[in-house]
Amino acid sequence: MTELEQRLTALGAVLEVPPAPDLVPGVLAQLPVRTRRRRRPARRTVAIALAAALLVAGGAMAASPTRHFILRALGLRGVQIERVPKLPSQHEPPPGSGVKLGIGHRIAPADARRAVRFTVLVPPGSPAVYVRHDVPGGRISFLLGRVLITEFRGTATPLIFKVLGPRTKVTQVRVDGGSGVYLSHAPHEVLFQTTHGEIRADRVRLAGNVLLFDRRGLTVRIEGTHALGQALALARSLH
Amino acid sequence: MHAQVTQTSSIAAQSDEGQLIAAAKAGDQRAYGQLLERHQAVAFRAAYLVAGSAADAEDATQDACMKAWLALPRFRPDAPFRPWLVHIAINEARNRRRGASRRATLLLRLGPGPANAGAAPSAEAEAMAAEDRARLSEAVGRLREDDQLVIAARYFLGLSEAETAIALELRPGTVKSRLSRALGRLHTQLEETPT
Repeated sequence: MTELEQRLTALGAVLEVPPAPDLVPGVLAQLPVRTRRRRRPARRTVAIALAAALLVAGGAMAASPTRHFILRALGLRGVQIERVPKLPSQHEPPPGSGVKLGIGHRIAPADARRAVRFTVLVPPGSPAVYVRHDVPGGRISFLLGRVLITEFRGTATPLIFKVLGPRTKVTQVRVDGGSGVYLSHAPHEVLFQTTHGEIRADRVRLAGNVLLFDRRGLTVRIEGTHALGQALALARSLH
Repeated sequence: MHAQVTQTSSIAAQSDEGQLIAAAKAGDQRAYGQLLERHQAVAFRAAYLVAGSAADAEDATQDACMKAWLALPRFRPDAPFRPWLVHIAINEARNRRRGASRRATLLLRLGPGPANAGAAPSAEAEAMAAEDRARLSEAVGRLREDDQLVIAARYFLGLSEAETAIALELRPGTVKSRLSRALGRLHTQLEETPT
């Protein structure tokens, strides 16, 4: 090895590289099962493929049957995902106030389990807890730094609508055996269906990376993580 | 004796890796998880140097792991897995860098100097070493991307020439000649830079 090569090797040893995250659990959770035999695709596989094609095709999908089809194909209750060619103008990221975030009023953590009509999944740590009764059964939100966890009862009718721009990446995942989807790489708009059946845009923010999944009849949304591995770890920590 | 033991364990590790690859090719996700545990760190390091952002590197590595799984049925069982995964991670990281309109150059950010197990160097010696590393890093950063990548693969990722060939999709002979030319250009850069 020449002197220059030795200097390069020494340089490599002091390069500042963040510690590699453990990606294995996140990757394994997403791996599709591979089989050697060629089979006729199952109905669900076809549905997912078709839904993915619709999502990738872009353009707003106005017809209600199409919207519901996408919801079912993604396997998530209470969530509908739609891709549009252009999102509304960018909003600022969440400033930290529950009211400004549109997640309701703050309550004491001890009251979290009594505040809504479902069994709440609580994250570890000391989150700020917010509740809002604008959807059937109410929704509860936990704010942990810049990460926001929202829970509501999964229903056959979508309560949350995600509107994706062309660059948003949609990844299907499994979270503790349940269905999930991870939206990353570009902001997307969040809309809610209120108790009165109105579809209302959340004008406060455009969400960043989001993991949505079903557990024990609840739909859980984890927003603001920097990568899927972090979101999955947080999902598993809910109890 | 020590060399013999090392060689034996290396052969055992290769054989073990071959078994893991064969099992993963047959659809064994646990075997694939073990392969990733061994090589995700070097894939992430490569992706970080190319993408220039930890979040993009994490996404790029994750996508590389997914794509490798999907492509595994076509992977030769006797081929090394590590440089192949690095190759996919570099491509994914490049795509993200292009998407973010970042310059096609490696991110070479210097951390603190190496911990010295022996006698502590003088403050002056340490300052000179740090200055030398900064000068070298800047000179590498001025090279064209092809040169930076071949240097990074060999000296910053610790890949062999054969592994570098797979990671950068080059013929083994090309790695040798490209590395030689890259080192020559680096030498010129250093000579042209005032100390």
